[in-house]
Amino acid sequence: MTPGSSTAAVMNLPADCDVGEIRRDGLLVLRTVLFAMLVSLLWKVIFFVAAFRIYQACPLEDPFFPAPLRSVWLSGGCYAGSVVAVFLALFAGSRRVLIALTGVATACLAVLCLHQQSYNDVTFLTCCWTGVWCLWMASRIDAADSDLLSDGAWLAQLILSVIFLGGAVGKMTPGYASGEVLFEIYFSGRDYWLFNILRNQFDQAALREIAGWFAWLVTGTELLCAFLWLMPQRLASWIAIAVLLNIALMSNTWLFSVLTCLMGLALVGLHTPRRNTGMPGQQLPVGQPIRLFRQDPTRL
Amino acid sequence: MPVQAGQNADKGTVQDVFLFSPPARFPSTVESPGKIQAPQRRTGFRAARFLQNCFSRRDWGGLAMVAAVAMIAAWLVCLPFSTAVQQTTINRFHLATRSFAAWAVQQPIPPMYNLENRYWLAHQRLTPDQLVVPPAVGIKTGMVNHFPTRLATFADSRARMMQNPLETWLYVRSRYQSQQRTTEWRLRPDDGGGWVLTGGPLE
Repeated sequence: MTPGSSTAAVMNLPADCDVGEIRRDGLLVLRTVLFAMLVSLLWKVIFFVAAFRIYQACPLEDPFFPAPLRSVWLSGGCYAGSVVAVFLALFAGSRRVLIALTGVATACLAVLCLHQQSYNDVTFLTCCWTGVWCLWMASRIDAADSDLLSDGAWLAQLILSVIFLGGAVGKMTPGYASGEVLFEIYFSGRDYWLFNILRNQFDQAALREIAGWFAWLVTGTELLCAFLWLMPQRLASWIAIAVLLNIALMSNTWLFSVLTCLMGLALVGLHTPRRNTGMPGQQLPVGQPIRLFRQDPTRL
Repeated sequence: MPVQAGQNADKGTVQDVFLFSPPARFPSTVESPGKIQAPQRRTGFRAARFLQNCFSRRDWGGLAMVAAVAMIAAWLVCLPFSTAVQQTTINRFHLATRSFAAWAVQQPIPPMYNLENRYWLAHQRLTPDQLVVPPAVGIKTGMVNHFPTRLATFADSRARMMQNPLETWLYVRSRYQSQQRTTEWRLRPDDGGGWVLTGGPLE
């Protein structure tokens, strides 16, 4: 018996799940988040390709950004690099390769968050936070970590909480409280099914009032979601998924580029094995490790 | 002595019960030989458990992430109460932070739909009075959700600039409670087919 498998036996892990190997359920969770991240990055790929051509044709000299962070090729390379790294990470089965690929993706996304041509697109910010989580997950994805999924879920919900907190706190100003900002951005002219219906049904005064209530609803919901990290794990996940889906479906489907990776993070809390239920009446021998799960959750 | 598994089923949240040689993390899983004791349900804050696991596994990356999130959350909580934080955030949105490094440090802070950002776009220079009562024609105004400077830097704006290559003046006023800043930018085409952006505070 190798030292690793001995430790695995002591920790009552599956025989084929040696210490130092990666957990299959952890890998499944990581791949789910990576896939969500890939969807986020590719959601606006047509726009990004068009934008790349525009930046090439119309460079902007702006003394605020250092010259390398105005380079079209750097932004294009970082975007392509992040997409390729996330795609390859979906198929990686080694911890070191996963760490390397998620590290590359996160570094590329961090550059995009600072680049003149992409700093304002929150897609890269949410993907970068998700990338940091994936990097952490890859670093802890060894077989000996029995708390991996619950820790991963809490960390994911902590990230979601701070993102929602940022949204809520930034709106605590009279322009949002009165509904004026959201009225001008969405209600007055945005061509989207919800706002088209509302414009057909209500006059301007009523729309302004609805915008005011809408702003309070949005801010209140974001404030509630700022406390996901304190909620029970599965409840927090369901609330986050419902709110994120609602934001995109009710305001702008382009927002799926920002929100899909966050939905991936929210899903982490749902992957954790449910509480053990056991089998009443089952005779269990004494002196050997006993599994109360009928199905081993680490074998997927 | 045989033991009924179902007797202990509601006590455990982890997947296994150890009779002998339990891992050190669950010292309470065995009370006496021959008696099955399911691991005690781990109660308390998930945060405390996460931190405990990070320390026991020397997971400095996990601790660093929690520290970073905590610092960002503290900054965000200060935003409604501190005029210094408000002004720093407004300067961030106007690309007017004292140095690029100081601006870059703030980039992990979530900015979605933050501040009240109004813009004015015209092919002529406007006076502060004209921002209050804009001319009837030749000016475009509206609200931007975040990073209003994207009206000069982002792709869709640059496409408009290419279609109509005239000198353009962009004004942005961002407000958060009692704090505000109005910045004036001048966008002019250069000889090489590109554009030059220069600007500064209007007030």
